[in-house]
Order: sequence, then structure tokens, then C-alpha cells
Amino acid sequence: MGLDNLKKELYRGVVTENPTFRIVLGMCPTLATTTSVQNALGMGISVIAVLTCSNIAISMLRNVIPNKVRIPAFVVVIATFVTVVDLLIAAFIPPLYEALGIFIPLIVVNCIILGRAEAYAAKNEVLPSAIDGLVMGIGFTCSLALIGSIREFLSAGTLLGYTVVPFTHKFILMTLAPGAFITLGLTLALINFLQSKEN
Amino acid sequence: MMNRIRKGNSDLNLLIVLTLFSAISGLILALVNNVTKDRIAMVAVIKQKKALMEVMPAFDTAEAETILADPMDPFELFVCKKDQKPVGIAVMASSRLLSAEQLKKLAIPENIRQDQSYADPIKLLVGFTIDGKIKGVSILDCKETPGLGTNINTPAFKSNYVDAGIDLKKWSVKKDGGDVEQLTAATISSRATTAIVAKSIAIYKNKVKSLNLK
Amino acid sequence: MTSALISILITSAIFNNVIFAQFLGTCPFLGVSKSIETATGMGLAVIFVMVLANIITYYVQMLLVKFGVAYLQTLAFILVIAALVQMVEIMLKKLSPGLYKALGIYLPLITTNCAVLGIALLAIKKNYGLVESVVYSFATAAGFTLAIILFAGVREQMRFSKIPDAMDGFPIALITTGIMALAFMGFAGFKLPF
Repeated sequence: MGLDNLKKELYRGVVTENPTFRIVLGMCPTLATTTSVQNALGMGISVIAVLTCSNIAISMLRNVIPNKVRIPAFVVVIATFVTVVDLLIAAFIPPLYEALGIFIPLIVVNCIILGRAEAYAAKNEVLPSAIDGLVMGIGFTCSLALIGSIREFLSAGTLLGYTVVPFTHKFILMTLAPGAFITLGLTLALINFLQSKEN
Repeated sequence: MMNRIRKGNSDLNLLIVLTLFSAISGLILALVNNVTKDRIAMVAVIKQKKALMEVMPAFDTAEAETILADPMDPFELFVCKKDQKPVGIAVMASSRLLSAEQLKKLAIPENIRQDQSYADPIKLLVGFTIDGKIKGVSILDCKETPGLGTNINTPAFKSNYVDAGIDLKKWSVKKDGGDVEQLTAATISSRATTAIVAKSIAIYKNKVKSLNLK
Repeated sequence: MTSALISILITSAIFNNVIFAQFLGTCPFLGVSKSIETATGMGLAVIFVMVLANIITYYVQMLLVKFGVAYLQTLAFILVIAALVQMVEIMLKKLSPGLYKALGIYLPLITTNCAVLGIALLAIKKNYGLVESVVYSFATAAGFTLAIILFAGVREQMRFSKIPDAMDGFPIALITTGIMALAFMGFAGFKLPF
């Protein structure tokens, strides 16, 4: 696969078919894990790992899984990788494990992963499926990081823990539920607006 | 044979495939679990040691004792020793409401203030040196209002407790006639935290008595 | 014991509302709230699935712990939930074809509803007994139903307003949810008198 092709795929995953902003899937982790850029990246990288691995596995097994049980079979594969990631994070990155909490096992019901398995990996070869998983995961991570930056910056004046602007009055609402919903909504609106301008 | 599996749609066939998948998945997970389980157990131990190191003077061993069992919110006691001699006692307690018999079990006076936190119970680890001073207070869990109640986790507020001789202060907030400076607009959180410290002091004194150190 | 249960009931349904405070179940919340009728149908289906899921997973967890395979929790739970939703689908098809058609694709999507799996996991984490787990799941699902019906009501009204193109659909839905979450925050620190 040429470098050009990879660039095209990356553009697709991050921009044109961004799972959060264009396809609007996987909103629970987007709202819950974006209180800081660090948590957002942690979640994003976990999803990249699970998505890429499950896409590869499902693509390899696509001719063996009977059609009628494909969804449960996909779920078993995805759940396996999610548990592996869960155990690895618990063992090697305890602070991230505490920060993400139950949202690590909840990756298994992240519609993005099942969606890509059904829409792509089940019908394509291994390498394209792997790349699809990778770029979709990167796209998801980018949107998580975007929302995370906005929320962390407004609520604490920091990005990744480094103080950018020492606010005296912090917009604490951003760390709480309403702030999450409103930030996501406004960002989505902005992106829709920019998209329509392009067209 | 693979083709036959794919074409056959009978229920038994589907069950076989799913069971096979689950079995393989189970094996993979058992493997990964084996590789990581020791490390995960270590993580919990290290976390506890780190928490103790924050509120205790230098020690080399710590004996843990659960004084009030509870799946979510146990009260625990840690006797920390250096060269076989106790150098400090740490108490892990929370602001949850204790019944009269629980108070009796912990040897806490029945009329002690049990101010409740604003949200879920606050959990503290209070470290005492053997000579009756508070060495440190670590906030283990606090779900108070961000920006207001969460300020109990600041050096400024903690200075109410740290380095204080336990018999030299009245352990309630100034509003209630005590010596603890409460946080502005977070009296409830301040009260709850002070109440936990008061309970911990009673527990500490009881342990010291039972260890025959005084 | 009953006061503890009532406390769980009110806290899970309102103070700690699954959508407005915990972010679980937002996908179906935003997707099935266009009309009050479908919202009610979805809510009831979720109540049914959630309570059953919590009951079954309670026993599954006991088995997992007994055999020392707690790490199989995610796998086991999601399979249980998937099977449960399949059953509900078959039942609805027979008993209420109208509702079945109205819910359409959203019924199988209850499987991927973070709330169902999330609440099952949380009940284990909080060490709830069977009765507490049932109350917890029922209350949470009731809170979900309350939230989704309220939201559908708001959305039905929004149809009469002129919304800018960029805001239409999910953006305005999210912002509205945020404002409702703000309202529900008023419950924080509410202490029940027992």
C-alpha cells in the first residue's frame, strides 16, 4: 500500500468519516473520559489497540464465521481484546486504570468497534481492515483529544497538565456533565458549519 | 470442512462455533491473566505503601488491621515500625455515619460529632506519630463540590491538622466553637473532615493504650 | 434495610441520573427520543433488560469468582446481555408487533447500550446483594426512561422552532441535554431525611 494511499486513509478516518463528528458514534466515552487531555489520549490509544486488533482478527476469521452468529462472534472477539487491554493497563499503567474506571470494559460496547467490524472487517482483507481500524481509531482519538483540550483548558487553564494560562476564575462546569454535553454539542455544530461552508 | 461450517446454518452448528470461539477466547484471556496477575497484585500493595509514606515518618514495616469491615468503606489501622519499634500509627476512616455499637467497637465516645459530607463519604488516611502528633492527612476519596468542598485537599486547609498535638486543639470548626478554620462556603465539607480526624484520634488513642506504649 | 433501598432507588433514578450525571446510555438516548411514544417504548424495554441483566449477572459473577476466573467478567456479561436482548426481540415480535416495528433497529442496539453493561458492572463494584442490585437496576432504568421521555417532550416542541442548519440534529440535542443535566445538578448534596 503506497504512502499516498495511507495518507488518504488517514484523512478519511480523521476528517471525512470521523467516528465522533461525522458518524456520531461512541458518545459515552467521549463525554466521560475527556475531562483532561491525558485521560482522553489514554482512552483513545486503548480504542486504537482494540479496534485494530479486532479488525485484524475478524478479517482473518471472516470466512469461518457463519452469517447467523456473526454479531455474537464479533462480540466475543472484541471482548477478548478489551479484556487483554484492561489487564495490561491495570498491570502497567495503574493511574490510567483508575482514571478510566469502568470505561475500559465499556469499550466492548463502543458502537464504533462493532460498527467497523460489521461494515468493513467482515468484508475485506486483513491489511485494509487493519488500516481501517487504525485510522478510525486515530480519528476517534483526535476528536477525544479535541474535546479534552477544550474542557481541560477552560476548567483549569492547563493542557496535559502544563499551565498555559493561569486562570484565577476557572470554568469548573467544564469538568462536570453539563459542560461535557454542551462542549460536544457546540463543537459538533462548529464542524457542521465548517463542513457546509466547504460545500 | 470450513466450508461446511460456513454453509451449515443449523442451530447446533451455530452453538458449536460460538462455544469454540468462547473457548479459544477463554484460553487467550487465561494466558494474559497469568502474565499480569502478579503485577496487578503488586500495584495494590505499592499504592498502599505510597499512601502510608505520605503520612508517616520513615518506617520499614507496616502491620495492617481492619477494625471495621465493609466491602466499600473499611476502617483500617496501620502500625508502622522501624527496627521493630513502632514509630507511627495511621488510621483510615471515613465520614460515614456509624451506629452506636460500631462506635463502641472502635472505642469512640458515643457523643462525638458525626458530621456528614455533602456528597459521598470523604475517606481519609490520618497519620499519627507515637508521641501524639498528627504527621499527615491524606485525602483518599472526596466527591465534594469541585472548587469549594474539594479545597479540603489543599495544604492551607490541611495545616489545620498537620503537626498538631492531638490534645492541644479542640477538634471542631470555629463555627462550632473549635479550633479548626473552616473553608469559606464549604462549612459542611470542613465539618465532615474534622469529624473524621476526631474519630481517628479516638481510634489512635485506643490503639496506643492497647499496645501499652503510654 | 428498606431505608437503604429507598435511598438507592431515589439516588440512582434522580440524583445520579444515568444520562445526566453518569453519561451512560447516551447513544440510544439521542437516537430514540424524537417522539414521546417511541421514547416510552424504549424506556420500558431498557427497564426490562436492565433488571434481568443485573439478576443474571449477579449469579454469573458468583460463578466466575468461585472458579477463580474473574477476568472473564467482561466477556461473560456482554454475552449474557446479547442473549437477553435477542430474547426480548423475539418476545416483542410476538406480543407487540407495533412496538417492535417502532423501535426498529434500536432494539438490538440495547445490547451496545453502555448503560446496561455499565450498571451490571457497577452493581458488582458496589458489592450490592441481589435485592439491592434489582432495586439499583430498576431505579437506574426508570431514571433513563424519565430522562428520555422528558427529552422527547422537549424535542417534539423544538420541531416548531427554526434551528440553524449547523445546529440541527445532534448538536442542539446535546446542548439541550447539557442544560437538562445542569438542572439535575441541583440535586447534588441532597440528603434524604433517613
